[in-house]
Amino acid sequence: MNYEEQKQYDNLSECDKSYYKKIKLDHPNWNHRQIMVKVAFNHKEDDIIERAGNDIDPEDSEILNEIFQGVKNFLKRVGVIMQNVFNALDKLIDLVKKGKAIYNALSEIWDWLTD
Amino acid sequence: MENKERRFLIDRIFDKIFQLGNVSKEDQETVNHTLNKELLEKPFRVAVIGQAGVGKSTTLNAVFGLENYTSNLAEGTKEVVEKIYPIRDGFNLSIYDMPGLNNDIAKDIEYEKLYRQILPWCDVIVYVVNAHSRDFGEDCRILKEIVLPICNENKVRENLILAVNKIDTIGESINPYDPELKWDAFKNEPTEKLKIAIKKKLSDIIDKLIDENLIGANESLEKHQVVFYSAVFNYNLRDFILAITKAGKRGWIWPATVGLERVGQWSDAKLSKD
Repeated sequence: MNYEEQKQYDNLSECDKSYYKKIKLDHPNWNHRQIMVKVAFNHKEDDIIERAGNDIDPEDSEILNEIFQGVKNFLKRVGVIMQNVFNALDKLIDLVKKGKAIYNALSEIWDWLTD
Repeated sequence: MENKERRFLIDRIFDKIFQLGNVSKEDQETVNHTLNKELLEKPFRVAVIGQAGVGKSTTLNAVFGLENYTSNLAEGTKEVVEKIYPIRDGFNLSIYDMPGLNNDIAKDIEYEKLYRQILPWCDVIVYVVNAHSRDFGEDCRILKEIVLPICNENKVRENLILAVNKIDTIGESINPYDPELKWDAFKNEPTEKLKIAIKKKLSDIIDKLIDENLIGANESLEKHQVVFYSAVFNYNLRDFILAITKAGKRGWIWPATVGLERVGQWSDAKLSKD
């Protein structure tokens, strides 16, 4: 492992470190990146099995975050840059990343803008 | 423009942002005009690729809310027709239903030509496979040798989704007579025994994708681009919608317009909870 890879490994939970070691034994020809992908998918497999039956939440923070990022990149790409709009979008992205529902997030932006 | 009816989720969000950000009427007009052009002037283009029987039609019905879509590709199709679905208020969805390759060199060459013509122009490219297909190795070869290189050459790799369908039937491929390995249709979830079988199968699929350098390598797919789901049971469509949202430059358009509400409409899981 190089320095960067070691850092990534150190940041894994103890459980993931054990899994990493197991994968390395099972697949001795895999490199660090491949093993890390396998570790990441291990969580995804658990999510699919345990939580996938739930309905899609229209305020799913990860999806909303991607929508806002997409809009922001689009407006930048076409050259529509308005600082107020971008500030509000950035704030919204930040709040949504923290898992706040959209209506709470919008009300917090209001507090932020009127501070 | 400022009095127009707010049609989509994104319109409602921007209304609020304009209000809260104290954005001038003139700037609101500019943003609205730019967004409208993007949403309404070009359809949201989806290419769906897969062998007969992998569940392309059910996938399109479940994920894109196309109630009665049926794939009717003729054997040996050499042309792919764009089917446009007016979704709402001027927003259109465009579907290219494309044949899967099948280890036939003559056909492969024809179909590769079709892929090269069409895939670079699509906002989302969905490659559907069956979770317990014996042809999975062949699908990996097609992805690795044909689809992924086309996507990389045309800088649309981010638009590609590997959609692993029919996870509900993994148990039946192990033992079709074991009721413990059947999907619990009332709860719309796998039984405990099936959960273990699914986890094992997904793990095997991931191993294969890593071995084939389809994930975890340079110019390969990212984690979110591999989606495991059941179109018939609307199971794990959330990951599918997230993958669409993250797809390329225009993926966000689908959930920002009608994507989230359309999936909600078709959710069997929701029905069983009530």
